[in-house]
Amino acid sequence: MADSPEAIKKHIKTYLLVGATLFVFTAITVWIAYIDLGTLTRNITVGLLIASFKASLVALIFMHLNHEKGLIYKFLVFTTIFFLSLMVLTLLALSDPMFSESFR
Amino acid sequence: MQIPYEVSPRPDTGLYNAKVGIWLFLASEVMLFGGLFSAYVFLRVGADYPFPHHRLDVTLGCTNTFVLIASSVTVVFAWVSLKLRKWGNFVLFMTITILCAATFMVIKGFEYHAKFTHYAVRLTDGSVLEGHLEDKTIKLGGVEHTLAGDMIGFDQITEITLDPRKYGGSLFKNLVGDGGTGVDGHGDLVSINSKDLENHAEAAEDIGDDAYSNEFDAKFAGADTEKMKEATAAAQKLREKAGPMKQIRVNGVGLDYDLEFVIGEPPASGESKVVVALDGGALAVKIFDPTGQVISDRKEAEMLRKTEVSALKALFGTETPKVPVVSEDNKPELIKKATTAAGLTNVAIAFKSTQVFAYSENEVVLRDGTILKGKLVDDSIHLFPDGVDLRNVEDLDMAAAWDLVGNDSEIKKAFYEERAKNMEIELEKQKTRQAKGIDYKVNTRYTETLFGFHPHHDEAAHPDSKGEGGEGAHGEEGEAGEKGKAHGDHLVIPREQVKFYSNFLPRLNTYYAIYFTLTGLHGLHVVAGAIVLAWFLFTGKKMYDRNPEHLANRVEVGGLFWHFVDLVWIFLFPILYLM
Repeated sequence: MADSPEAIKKHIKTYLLVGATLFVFTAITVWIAYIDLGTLTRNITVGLLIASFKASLVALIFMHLNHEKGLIYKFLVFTTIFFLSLMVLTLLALSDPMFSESFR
Repeated sequence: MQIPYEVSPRPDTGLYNAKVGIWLFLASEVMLFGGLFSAYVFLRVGADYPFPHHRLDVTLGCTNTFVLIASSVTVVFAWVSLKLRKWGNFVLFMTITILCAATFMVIKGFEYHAKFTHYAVRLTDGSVLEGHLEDKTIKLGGVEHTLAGDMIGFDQITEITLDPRKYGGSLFKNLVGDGGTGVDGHGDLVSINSKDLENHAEAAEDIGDDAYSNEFDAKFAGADTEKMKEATAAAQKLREKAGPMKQIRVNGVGLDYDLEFVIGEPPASGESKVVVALDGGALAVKIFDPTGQVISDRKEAEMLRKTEVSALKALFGTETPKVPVVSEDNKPELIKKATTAAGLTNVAIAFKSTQVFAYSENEVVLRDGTILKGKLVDDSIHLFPDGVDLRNVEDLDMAAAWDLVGNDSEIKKAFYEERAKNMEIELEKQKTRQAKGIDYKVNTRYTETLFGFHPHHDEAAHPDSKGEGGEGAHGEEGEAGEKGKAHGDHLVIPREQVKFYSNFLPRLNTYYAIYFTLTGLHGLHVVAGAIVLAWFLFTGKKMYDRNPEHLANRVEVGGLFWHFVDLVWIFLFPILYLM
């Protein structure tokens, strides 16, 4: 079992390492925000990629998603789908009905 | 009752029940924050103003990120300690976690405080002065009073008309207070003949109950357009008598002072006016420029948006009943009696501008419909500036901000030096980009005309001036800041020159609206999480002695929530502070 005392003892180092990585990448996020990458879009993309990386570390290691039971992943599949649709929804802000097919 | 499967896993799921529960809850939390993040994107993409960029204090935000990550690590170790049956370690790590949560909220408190005390004043030409309000001294009722820098003082009030039909003068009565001692908890009331006012308010209230029900019946029996027209005409007469309003505000948006409002014919050449015409029952608005020409459609639309047509409607017609205008002519008989019942002497009141709907030299209409007749004493805004934003100004040299700050001021010099420096950097950028074959245009309007400086000020007297300031308005403000220090005094801004002013709260713009929504909701999660974890810490010993695995599972579930809170902040920090 993954959560036995022996296994947990082995994980202690991992937890510390993940904590340190999160600290380092926070510093990198701040540093990169003031570096000119060409366009603001690029800065935003890089910032979000780093944030996503940090978030995955928290989810996988701290929240034990790297060794969880199947049911939880089933929940998360739906969560992901709904979350992505919420984000895709924002693309509507860029659409212009004047140029859509139905308007012609 | 014994809840099953709190320690041993349920055979079909392979999990203890609480874990299934918390993951279902977290899934719904993802939806909650996801919706708000999506709202942020909408607001940012749709913003019709330069969306604030690098305007928050990154040092505080970054510190808070470290604090939350540290707490995430310690909450894992609190769980590990329980798994390894080390109670002492659990207490230590859990205490650190809760202290981290407290630190996070204290830092958040500093950030919020800086926003509450920092003001942006938009002048008539679109230039914005940022800074902190300075107390001012005005003479009211024969006595000098020190008031907040944006208060509006009225003296020699002779007549008070409460409008019992809508809010029963509730705002006004709240200002005056119940005790009638002359000063209420808000510190707004300066001096008043309380006995008179009390009688006055009571009389109005009694009468109002009847008047209200009549009014209510009339309103829902069907609209009487003929009557509405009459009321509008009556309101117009009253306005003509009172002269042009000095300020009209609806939902916090001030109207243009330069424009007078008339109903009917277009004005003669040389005047700048808004004409409100009754057009088949609906109110139509035309705006004329000083040459007497109707302003072009696009510009008109722009101006209408700025001046909030709804305010005009509310002022002139009874169509929008939310803001009641009671005139001598359309006032119900009963209310008239209440008005004349008063015999007020030596009444003076100071208002916050958020309490006022409209006012002129001799009249003020409160948001609850209360009308006071008196003499305007002082309505200027006293501001100690710490930033200039000229992104909406066509000609930087002619900006109204410079007239106030002073054309020879150190601030102006520093502004231009800073601008020249930024321009140089931009041009350099353009050169290197074009050498690489990348199309790049210098965009000075967006970033380089926003300027923040550290005011020269007695720090002890004004600790707030450091909090947010123009910090991070642009990267390298140090040098310019030094130069800004030569400027000493605060500004006295006449209300006529102020189009809109607000502290850095949701009403300022959509960025601060979503900022407060997101960080506020996140802050509540931090508080809630800390309470749950503290509960485990302070009451867990009993459970630990009985069944340590049960407490370990509880802490794991609490920890999952805590990690989620950290995870949200991992996105919030770069999005709000850095992008």
